[in-house]
Amino acid sequence: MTPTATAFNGWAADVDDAVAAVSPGPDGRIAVAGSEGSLTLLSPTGEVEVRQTLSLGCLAVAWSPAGDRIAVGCIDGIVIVDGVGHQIARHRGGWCSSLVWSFDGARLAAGMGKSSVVYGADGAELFRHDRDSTVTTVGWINRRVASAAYGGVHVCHVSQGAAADVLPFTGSLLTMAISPDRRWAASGNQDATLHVWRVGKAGEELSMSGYPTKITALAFSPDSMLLASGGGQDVTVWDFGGRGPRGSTPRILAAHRQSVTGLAWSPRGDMLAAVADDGCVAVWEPRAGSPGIPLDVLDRLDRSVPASAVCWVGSDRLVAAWADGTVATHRVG
Amino acid sequence: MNLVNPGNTTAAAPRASAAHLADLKDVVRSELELDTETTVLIQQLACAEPGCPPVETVVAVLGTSRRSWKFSTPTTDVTTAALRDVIAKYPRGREHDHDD
Amino acid sequence: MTTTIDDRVPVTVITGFLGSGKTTLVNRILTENHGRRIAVIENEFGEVGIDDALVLDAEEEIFEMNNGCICCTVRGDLIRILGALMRRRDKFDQILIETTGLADPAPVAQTFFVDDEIRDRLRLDAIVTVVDAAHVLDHLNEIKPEGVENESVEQVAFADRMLLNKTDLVSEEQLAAVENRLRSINRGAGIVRTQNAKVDLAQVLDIGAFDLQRVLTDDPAFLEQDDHQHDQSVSSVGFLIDGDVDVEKLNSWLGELLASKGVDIFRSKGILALAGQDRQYVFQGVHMLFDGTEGRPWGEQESRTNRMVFIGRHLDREALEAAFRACLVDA
Repeated sequence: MTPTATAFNGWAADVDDAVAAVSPGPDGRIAVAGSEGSLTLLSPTGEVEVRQTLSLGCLAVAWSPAGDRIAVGCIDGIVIVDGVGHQIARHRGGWCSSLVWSFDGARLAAGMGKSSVVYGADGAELFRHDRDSTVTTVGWINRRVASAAYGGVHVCHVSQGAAADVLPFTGSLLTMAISPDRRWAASGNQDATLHVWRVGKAGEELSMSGYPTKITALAFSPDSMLLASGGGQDVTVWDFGGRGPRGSTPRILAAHRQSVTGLAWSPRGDMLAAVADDGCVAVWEPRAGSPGIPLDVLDRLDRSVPASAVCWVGSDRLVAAWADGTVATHRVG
Repeated sequence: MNLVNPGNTTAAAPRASAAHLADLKDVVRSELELDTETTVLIQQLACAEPGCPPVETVVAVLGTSRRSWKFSTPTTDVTTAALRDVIAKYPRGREHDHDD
Repeated sequence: MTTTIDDRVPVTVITGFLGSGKTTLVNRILTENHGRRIAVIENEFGEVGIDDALVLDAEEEIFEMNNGCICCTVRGDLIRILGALMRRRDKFDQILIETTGLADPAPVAQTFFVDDEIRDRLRLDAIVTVVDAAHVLDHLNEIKPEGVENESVEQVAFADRMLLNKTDLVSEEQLAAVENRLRSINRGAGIVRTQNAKVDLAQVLDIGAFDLQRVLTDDPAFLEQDDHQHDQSVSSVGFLIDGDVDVEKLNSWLGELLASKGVDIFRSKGILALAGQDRQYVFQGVHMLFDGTEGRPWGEQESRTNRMVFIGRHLDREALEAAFRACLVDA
């Protein structure tokens, strides 16, 4: 039975900016970056603890796993603040839409214009690798940093002069995901295809086409078994178990009426949340679905303004945000 | 920018007018003698969790030490007089508005 | 007839060589904007300097895209930046994109045909080219090595409107010669003479040049045959031909034409009378990309006349006309 659209069952706050991204911090605190340039830190009960205007527009935010740093990517650079919003470092000069901390919070990988850059937690630049066009996504493969830009994914050791391993793709890579077990890299592309490489093994590439539109959202499940992809109203989930998705039929998660723009797996990997401009935040249990047969939602939140970001703050509690500045929490199920 | 009320019936709690928000902020600034750099924030929060008031107002001063005062009512119902009283009584802040 | 109000944000592309006055034009638009909310994406850093306008810098990134069997180039940086602009809560009344003088305008135009997210929220209103009356003939006449494009010719060919600027520095005769030359490349793009880029903004903004409902309605005179054929590779070819068009034959011809000669055809526009259709069929193209739709119904007394124009390199008027005539129902 399809659950009827429900309102959220936690708190709702207004951050006075169109939310671009959210990131969970320690103890249930939440960092919210806005498209008009603001950073807001919310307490576990939704109160504003810190609010700052950092730039003309923010694109990404990432709270360090160590809990003591928040990195914000902006249209003109990157800002690193501490847990109470004091600025630690600011670097201008490039579009930063992707930020990923190393697992211990000691290093930060970031796209900065046409370069992928690694910073220390104090904001000092440790490494830089130049691409021919703007870096869209970065990620870690063990201690190496991966960057996606037009032409493919480059994987580099974080030391000057290191040559890059190239995972090639002739086209515009809009987003990239690395499986947590580091076996696979995938890119979502402007030409509505998904490209997959086996890390460290050339010649095992896959290309999935047939998506209605460009793919701007990708996420591997925590156990690396499933890859969720946007690129249309439905979320397409590929099975990476065993030999990988070659020749397989994906699972289809249906709910949205407009193209999916964001995806987030729950920490245990049993649930997947997705957002779209139709205002809907949808949650499914992807493993309950069968390949090829559209799966209905487990839960959903519906509002009339674009849903722009989602993350999880517990095994069954999510934080969702909309373009009118609303940030809300919801316990699923 | 509507705050949606959790629950399935009522419309969103009415938003306070810009003038009222400005008045409340003025009270905070004058009571605490704040400089113009310090951020004063008035936030209306809707909460559906058990034990929470459905709508509350948080008045906060952001800075090196954050201070806040809470009211279990929409912002439109927070009067300048009430705010002035509370700040005078609890200059370091107050977490909930029933007497302890 | 239902008219859908198009509430997408209009985008005007302003191009022209450094020194032509295009930055002056952008600054004028910003200062004279009378409360409209305008965002500017500029290529030449730091030139636009008006407080209160949202000005972003963009370094041109040309991406090749495969759209099925059509290969084209788009401005990847614009897709990225326009996407971010549209996520804000403030609604823009207008977006200006200033391109460098060395730019090929095709990728900018193609970006608006190709990206779904952009098509949904933005519409390309017009390409406005600012021309320096004192120097343009030199630029147009410059001999480039084999295989290298003359950017000034491209910028003129792509224009929907041209501002012939710095008219105070040039004699009336020279102006007429310049205008003749510009028209021989691009008939149909209105030319407005200006000094210091001073112009009535209605001539520059909201022209609707890519609006399929307004295609070719503004200046039918340009479709007349040109008697003064210059020996130049880039020209405009326009037709006025009566008769109903067989849709299958048309598709076959246009498909083959754009696929084989698309590289040489900068712009194409047309209003066609399709056999069996009450409504006009209106189309716009940039190189191999093509966008067509039903227009208004033909009027009771209106003759069903096909009008179209091609702007491009090495266009063979006779061959194009003959091939089109072969698509007519009673061919």
